[in-house]
Amino acid sequence: MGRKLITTGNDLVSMAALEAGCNFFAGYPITPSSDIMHNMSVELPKFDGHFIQMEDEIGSVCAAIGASMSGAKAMTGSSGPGISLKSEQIGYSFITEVPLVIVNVMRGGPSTGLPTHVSQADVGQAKYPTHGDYASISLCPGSLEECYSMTIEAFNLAEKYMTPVFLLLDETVGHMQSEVELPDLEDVKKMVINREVYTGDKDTYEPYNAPMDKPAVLNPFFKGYKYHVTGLHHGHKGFPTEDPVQSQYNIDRLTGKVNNNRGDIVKYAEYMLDDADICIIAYGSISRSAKSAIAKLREKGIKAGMFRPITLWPSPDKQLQEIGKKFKHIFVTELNMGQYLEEVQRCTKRDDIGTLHRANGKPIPPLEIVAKVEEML
Amino acid sequence: MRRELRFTGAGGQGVLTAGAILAQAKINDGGFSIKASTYSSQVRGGPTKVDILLDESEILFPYAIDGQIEFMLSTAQQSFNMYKSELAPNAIIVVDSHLVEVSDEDRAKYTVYDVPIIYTAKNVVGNVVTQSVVALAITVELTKVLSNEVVYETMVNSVPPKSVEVNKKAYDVGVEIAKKLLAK
Repeated sequence: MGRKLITTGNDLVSMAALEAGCNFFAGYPITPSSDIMHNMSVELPKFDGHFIQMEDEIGSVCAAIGASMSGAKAMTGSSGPGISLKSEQIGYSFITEVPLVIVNVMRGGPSTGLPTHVSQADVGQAKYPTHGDYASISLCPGSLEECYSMTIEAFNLAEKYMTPVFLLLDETVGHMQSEVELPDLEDVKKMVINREVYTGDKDTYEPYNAPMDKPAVLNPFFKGYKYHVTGLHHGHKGFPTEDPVQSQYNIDRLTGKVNNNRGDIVKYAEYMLDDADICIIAYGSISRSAKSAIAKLREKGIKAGMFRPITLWPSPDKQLQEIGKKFKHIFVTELNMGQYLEEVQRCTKRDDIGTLHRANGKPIPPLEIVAKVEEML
Repeated sequence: MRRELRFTGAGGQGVLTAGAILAQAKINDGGFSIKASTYSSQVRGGPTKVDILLDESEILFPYAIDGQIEFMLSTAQQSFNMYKSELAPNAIIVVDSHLVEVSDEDRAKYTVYDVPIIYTAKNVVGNVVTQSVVALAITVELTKVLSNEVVYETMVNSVPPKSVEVNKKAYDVGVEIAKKLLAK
């Protein structure tokens, strides 16, 4: 049957979070993501959840991590400057393997930058938001439907891989208002994944003694399963260690549990690529301009199609390698100065990629893409 | 065919409400619409605009395109000055004649109608808050982007129950004004 409603991207993120079972949100207001926090403050108490506006961004990510350790499905939301402030504790979430969904509605940067204007300039930050070695997961919706479905997916991936997951919206997608059709709630509930729980002997419980490429199994606190949590490198029971073998194992597992499960994690969309000579690579709101540009290019007899990474990190590296071999022309367009272009160049090993990049807070209209593509032919 | 309309005014005048009703009406009519509102650090009292994009197929680029806006309503001088630059040649402009002055140069470029919208809402309809519905009715009658019936019905279902009757009157008054403008 489906559900139809008229709403915005930001509103869909909060709706999907609640329907995925999110029961804790901590945040600090910041443009252009505040709508999400506002909605959660209104809705969470109705679902027996908890909302707290903390004293700052650092406090809010700490509160969300703490809630998640207790078994809550926790979320925090912000925009670029707030993510920068949260970055140290995001590292804590990586090493302790505490699941968390972090929404970043991207605005122009660096620093406070362009608070109310669209940008995709936090794509690089999402890959490496904090110091140290780890592999991050970032999802980037390009439509209202995906604002909903990728929020559900972000919670599922966070719980399945016990890791922070970024949901990267750009301001255009966040504030776009139109009609959307969503799956029925009963169908959504069937898709929801919850973290694994250890049910064996309490005395032999070792939460971090996980096979390579698998996450830790952290039982919620206060249920009688004792272990230690620290930002320091730790052994199987969670207590600090400097043992080089253990430290290397920790990092191999943190990176491996994401990078070696790309087949399960990575999502992408292809549009009119079957007969295309030109592959346009775009994501988020710019993929909408690209799609519209493709129709105009095809009217002129230019066979263009689009590859749209939905999971920006880990990148769809195999698919990008194939694109590098298959297409005569590759064109990358994004609202930053080439942050994903670097990944496309790395995977395709091509140095002849056409580009259209912008970082002035303005969207890229379809006709500008058409003109740039024509220029490269 | 994609059609683009722009409503501008001062924050609080109901510009965004009128835009939301028009966008909703297009969806009710089986089409697609996107409402792209001002998102700035200034909303209440500051210059506000909402672009309404209407189409028979999915709208991908969710902003008005420079030079394609066929209609603009403006109830504040500052927003008129700020937001007129992206209009199509020969666009229709409706301004509140008590609040917005239009240069001879702009009058030569565009089809300009001067209507005392806020005065009409206050003194003819009898409630100043109906100004957005008066303006909405004028827009629909002048541009024919949608039928009056579908917009009227959407409006009735969108306004607070207490103000349905006065807004119905406002819509009728707006349509009459536009008909007179077209007859001139």
